Amino acid sequence: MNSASTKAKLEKYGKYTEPFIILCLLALFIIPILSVINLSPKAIPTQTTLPPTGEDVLGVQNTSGYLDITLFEGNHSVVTDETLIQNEGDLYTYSTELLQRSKGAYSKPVFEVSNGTTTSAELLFSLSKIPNSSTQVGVFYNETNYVLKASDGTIYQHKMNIGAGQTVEIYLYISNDSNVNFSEEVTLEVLTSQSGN
Amino acid sequence: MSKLLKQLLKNSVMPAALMMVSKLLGIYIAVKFFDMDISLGNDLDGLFSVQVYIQSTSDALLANSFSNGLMLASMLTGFLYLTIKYTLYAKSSHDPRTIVKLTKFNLVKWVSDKNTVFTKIFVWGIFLLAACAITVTSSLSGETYSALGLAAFIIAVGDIWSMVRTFEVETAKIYPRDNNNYN
Repeated sequence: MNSASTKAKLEKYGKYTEPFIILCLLALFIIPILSVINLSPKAIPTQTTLPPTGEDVLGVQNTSGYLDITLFEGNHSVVTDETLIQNEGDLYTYSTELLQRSKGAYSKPVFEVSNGTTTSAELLFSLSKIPNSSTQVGVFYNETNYVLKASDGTIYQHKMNIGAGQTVEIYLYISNDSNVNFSEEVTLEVLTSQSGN
Repeated sequence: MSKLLKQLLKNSVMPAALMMVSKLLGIYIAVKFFDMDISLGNDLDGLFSVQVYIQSTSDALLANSFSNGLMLASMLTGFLYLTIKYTLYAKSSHDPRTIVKLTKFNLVKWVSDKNTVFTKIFVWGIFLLAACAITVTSSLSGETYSALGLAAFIIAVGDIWSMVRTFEVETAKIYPRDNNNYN
């Protein structure tokens, strides 16, 4: 008797649950399709930022081999696999792999710039390979951080002046507002030129 | 509650799960077998906030092709299994030679299993069609090999034809054609 009345109630009120069942059915079709589309792996996008043409923007003539840039290397919990390559005389490429890390800010001295000439020089910092996450990347020297990639993904370039006979230590500054559970590659380009001042 | 809805819901769980599992398994096998460097990205652009990234474009192409191929193969297997079963069942109802052959291979019980119904074939057909559409779209955007995209297109055409044919056979049971009586 009880099961018969329960069955009758289910039959009576079952029609009110049908819209929700239809929604469940649609979800059962749509969710796997969206999941499969999302699971398709993509190649890591690389962004290249072309440095401005030296003579018109910097207003000076580029010469080669007047600045020394030396890689510091060393051990760090986040910044690893560092390389520094000199390309085309005036362009230096610094690459590193950032390991997985928890929320916070990290910095490491990455290279030292020495101006052995009698005139001041200019360095243009820009990123050619940026992390995909919301990690903020910047260069830090003389107690100031200069952002090259903001958390919202905006890319900047930074110009630095180095006087004659000066030596400056450049730090790589990393900051993320949430844990990053994977490794990322960062490539920093440094375009050097001699200023007329 | 409608019996049709209940049946559709019950029959949709298996192909939905198989679709996701086969795609995941395909990516896992491709990454392990070809030693690919994989990472997760938290992008806020687009519909999805988490994206799977692979280091190089060629590796991503291989992983996508492998996983899409495995997903397509698993959905096709399920659909073919049901279609063949249904076709043999439908044919045996008006062809005694089919019954003799089925008896010879001891398949009568398998064919006459009441679980072979149109809703099951329809649901599997829809999921196979979705898998084909994903593969073709992926191939057109250069993320999957074009040969696989072409194969998916051909499978999709066969799938649609198969579903329409099954629907015709089912409706012929309710509204038989006059010439059927004179075969």
